[in-house]
Amino acid sequence: MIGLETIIWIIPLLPIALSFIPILFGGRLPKGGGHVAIASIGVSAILSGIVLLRLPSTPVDYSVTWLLTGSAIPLRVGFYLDHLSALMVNITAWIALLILIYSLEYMGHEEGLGRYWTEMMIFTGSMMGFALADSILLMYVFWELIGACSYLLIGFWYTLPEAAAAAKKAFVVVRVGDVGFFVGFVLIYLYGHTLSLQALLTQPTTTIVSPTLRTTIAILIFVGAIGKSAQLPLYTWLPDAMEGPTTVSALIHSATMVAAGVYLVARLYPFFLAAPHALTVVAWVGALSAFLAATMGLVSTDLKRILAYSTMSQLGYMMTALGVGAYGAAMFHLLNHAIFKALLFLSAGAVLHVLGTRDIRQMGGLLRQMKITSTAFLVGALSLSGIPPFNGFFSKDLILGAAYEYGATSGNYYIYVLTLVSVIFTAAYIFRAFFVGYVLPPTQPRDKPVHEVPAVMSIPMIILMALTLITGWLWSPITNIFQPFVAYSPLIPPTPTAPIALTAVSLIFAITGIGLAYSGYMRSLFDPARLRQGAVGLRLHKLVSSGYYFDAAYAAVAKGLSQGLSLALDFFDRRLIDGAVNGVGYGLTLLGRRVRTVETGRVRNYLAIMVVGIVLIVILVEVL
Amino acid sequence: MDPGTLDYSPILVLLVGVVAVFTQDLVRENSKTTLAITSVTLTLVCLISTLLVTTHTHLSVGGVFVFNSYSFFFTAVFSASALLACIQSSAYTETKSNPFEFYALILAATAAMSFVAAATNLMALFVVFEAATVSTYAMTAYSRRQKSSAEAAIKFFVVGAVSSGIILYGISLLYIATGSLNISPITTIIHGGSQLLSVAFILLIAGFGFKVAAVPFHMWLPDTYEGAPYPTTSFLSSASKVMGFAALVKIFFYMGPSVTAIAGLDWRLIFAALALLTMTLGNLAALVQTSFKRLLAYSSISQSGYILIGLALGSGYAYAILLYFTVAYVFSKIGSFIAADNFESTYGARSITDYAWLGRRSPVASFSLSIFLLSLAGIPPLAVFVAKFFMFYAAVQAGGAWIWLSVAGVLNSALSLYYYARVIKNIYLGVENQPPPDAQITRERWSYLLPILIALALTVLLGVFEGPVIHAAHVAINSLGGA
Repeated sequence: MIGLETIIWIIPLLPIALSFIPILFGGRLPKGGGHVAIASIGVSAILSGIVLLRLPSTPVDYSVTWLLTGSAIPLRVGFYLDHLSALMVNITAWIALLILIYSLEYMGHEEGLGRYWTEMMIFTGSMMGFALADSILLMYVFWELIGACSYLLIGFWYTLPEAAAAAKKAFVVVRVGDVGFFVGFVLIYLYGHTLSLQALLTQPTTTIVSPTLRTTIAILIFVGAIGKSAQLPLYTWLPDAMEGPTTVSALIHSATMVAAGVYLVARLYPFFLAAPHALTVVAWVGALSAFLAATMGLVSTDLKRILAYSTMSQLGYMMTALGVGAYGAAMFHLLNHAIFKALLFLSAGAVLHVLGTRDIRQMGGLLRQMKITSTAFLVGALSLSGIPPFNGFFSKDLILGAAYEYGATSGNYYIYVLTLVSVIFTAAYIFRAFFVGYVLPPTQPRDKPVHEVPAVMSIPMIILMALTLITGWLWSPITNIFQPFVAYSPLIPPTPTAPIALTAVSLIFAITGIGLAYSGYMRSLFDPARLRQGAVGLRLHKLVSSGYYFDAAYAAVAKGLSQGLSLALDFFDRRLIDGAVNGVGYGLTLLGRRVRTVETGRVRNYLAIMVVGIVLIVILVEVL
Repeated sequence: MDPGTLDYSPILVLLVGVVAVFTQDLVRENSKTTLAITSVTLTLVCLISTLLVTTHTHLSVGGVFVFNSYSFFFTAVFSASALLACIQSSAYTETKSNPFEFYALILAATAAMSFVAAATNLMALFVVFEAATVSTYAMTAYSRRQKSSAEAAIKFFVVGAVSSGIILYGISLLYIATGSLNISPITTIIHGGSQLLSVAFILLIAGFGFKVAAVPFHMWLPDTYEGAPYPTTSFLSSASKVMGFAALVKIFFYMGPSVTAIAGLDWRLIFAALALLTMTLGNLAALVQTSFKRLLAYSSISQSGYILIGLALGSGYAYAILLYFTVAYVFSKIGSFIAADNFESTYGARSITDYAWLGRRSPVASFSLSIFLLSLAGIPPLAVFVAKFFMFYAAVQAGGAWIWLSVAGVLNSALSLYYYARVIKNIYLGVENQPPPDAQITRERWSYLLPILIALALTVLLGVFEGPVIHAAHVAINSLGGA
């Protein structure tokens, strides 16, 4: 029997270690080496499952001294196993496995498939490494690997200008957040003299003594999470990232990239609890993101973009939950969201695979021909809207209840109101997508017949549908299997519970949202298009559909700042730096040529130089 | 097995091996494969038994050789180099009518080198040092019908012979001055005064400087590396050079402090100057090379410069890092030479422009070569990066003027990236105005692929998990005892 201390190393490192196979030998393997990717992630997933079953009741740190051994600054790295990391690594591994199986068919006919598998393996491995890392430094290393892989994967079709631009945008925008995380952990090292997770989790107040500093660090780290989890104001990369393959979007939006931000806050939760006001910031950013993203989802016509805004909105819910002290609810929603969001994306991917379009207005009439795909989307949509007995209902209900309780104790009901109103929008936008994209008959006749996707794509969807129905019951009003994952650390407060009446309220809101979409698009009781007419409607529509002008504002600021600065820098760079670099390079090459000419090929010259060398050394030593 | 027998086994295996390889020629005709397998097995057994030897071993042979952790550390490096060179040789000797001597020479040189690391007497050290060097002369001239091989050997031999003379001269002056040939702290000067002692040590530095290719004693190296058969070059750049360091570290560990105390010669400054010159000139010359083999030769000189920092610092910690550096360096270097051998024999690629687009035709070898070159340039997390990091860190910790050594080292590393990266660029992105060829992936030969993959695995492994080797290096230095 292999011990946990070995397994924990294999889980993240196996896919990374084997990642060279598809890119180097993909050309000679069936499906470009996809089976290697699936097998390695599969092993990781099974091992994660074993870890979950054999989970020790107290956190364990499996680390080794790495680099700088024998010197004054030893660095210990390793993996940290507790309920949180075990949960996260399972979510990542299993969801990634399903998505990879789906990719076998979905991506099967692409050029450069080996590259795809390699990047997916490193991406998933890095996320698992990030989840298990036992020091902030190691977390940061994997964090950057996640960022780099997302860049490569979003830009998988790098010959398309939109994909290349989207990849660049994702990288640059997330990088702004990364700087926050980086400065945060450098401050921890400078003032706390440690990077070990254990120290931060068990003694946050003795590691960093000053409360102001704790808040500063927590907020800086949260800025990193904002970038990765696409929260306000660093969300602009997320909709554009839809240019990547749908399987990549599915993975980014469910179990890897965006989950990393939420996980970062959850991982350092005891530290955030010890930082005054930090969680309030988290709650506000989360609630505002949840609300604004839901409104943006209402006006988009691109199915994948609707799902992207929904991701941002749902991550806003998780952040809100963390902010209001409902750590368990946030992690529960992370689990449930990963499942139903992967499901929604896989369904959207199946439609895109068959129809070749992402515009919901050009879809439609799919219920009959694509039964599994349509059912998958319906199940995902019901779960996202928060309709029982789908898993989204249970976790969202917990979050709303906690937000209400937060209002009751702090007097700040804004958070609750924002998240509650978002429920209507959420249900409305996702059912708008369902009715227009799947149910209503197509506006134009199709030139080729529509058919259901093959089993290798539909089976992952079926499994996810089943999970959507199951996982909610891990923590329902009558069952609580999830409890150990919440109550494993004494520093984590119990999740606040709200009166049952609130559940009824949020349920009514969700049904109202669905009803609005139904009456507007299916029954034509009112014309949704009229909403964007009139002076107010027009302006509102423009405001929302332009993403609240965040992109435009960034562009303006960037342009204003950079035009002046870049002119100066351009001069500096071209004339001074390049001049110096070229000069040095030219000089060195010249010098190199001179050195080379000494090498005459004549042995007597060699000997002469040797002897001169010795004589010179003797003279220098004896005379000077 | 009796631990005593096991402790002797590394050396016995090699000595028996030399005889075995020669006799195989008499017993059986035309068995090149068996021959290669025998040699590889012998070096492998030697390597494994070296790794198994206990750390407390202290075997005295004839009063002039002591086998302990220090010597076994180097025996491991030598036999690992020999192992890779033997596998590589199996491709080279295929076309040779007399392959037996080549393997025998590798094994003989390896055995002699192991004795160099164990020598406790200067005269004994000189004898085994010469035994190893003479074997490498013959290995260099092995393609004797080729003009380049013969020329390389002649140059190597002439400069080597002069260097041997210089070493011998240094030893005799030392004997005149102190009346002793033991490698141990010098207690008294009985003749000639402190200046004689200083000159003796300068001559020793110069003589061994030839072997490690310290500038200005390096001139033979590019010609010899370029002209020698590839397996010989691999072996010269690894085991042979490391032998020079094994001798230098041992001599200066024991005798250095007392030389400073009695003769007032701060030999550390000489090494610092040599390190500075060696790394800089090696890199500068490498910048303008067009032949890849020659580029690697100059890069090998510049690496010696970094390693010499360990001698310039002269602390136990720095020596341990030096030992680690030799291990890290050896695998990246041998790997590069084997990859170059592979490309020359498969595609006739000699100049770095011939390397254009090789990434498409030999993905594995190209990728490995890129990793070796990045390692040599000092890119994390590869082996030589860790070695350089520790070396420069040791220099910074030593403080004072030594910090400038690490500044020079870092600048040189940055400079070196230019010529390493240029090769990688050619491999993957081609050269200007040359479209990618429509070529199929070539089937690699195992005699190249196997050692390349071993070296690759070790280059990466030593980079991310350097602990055990660093520990072994510390144990090796500690086994030398107090100076």
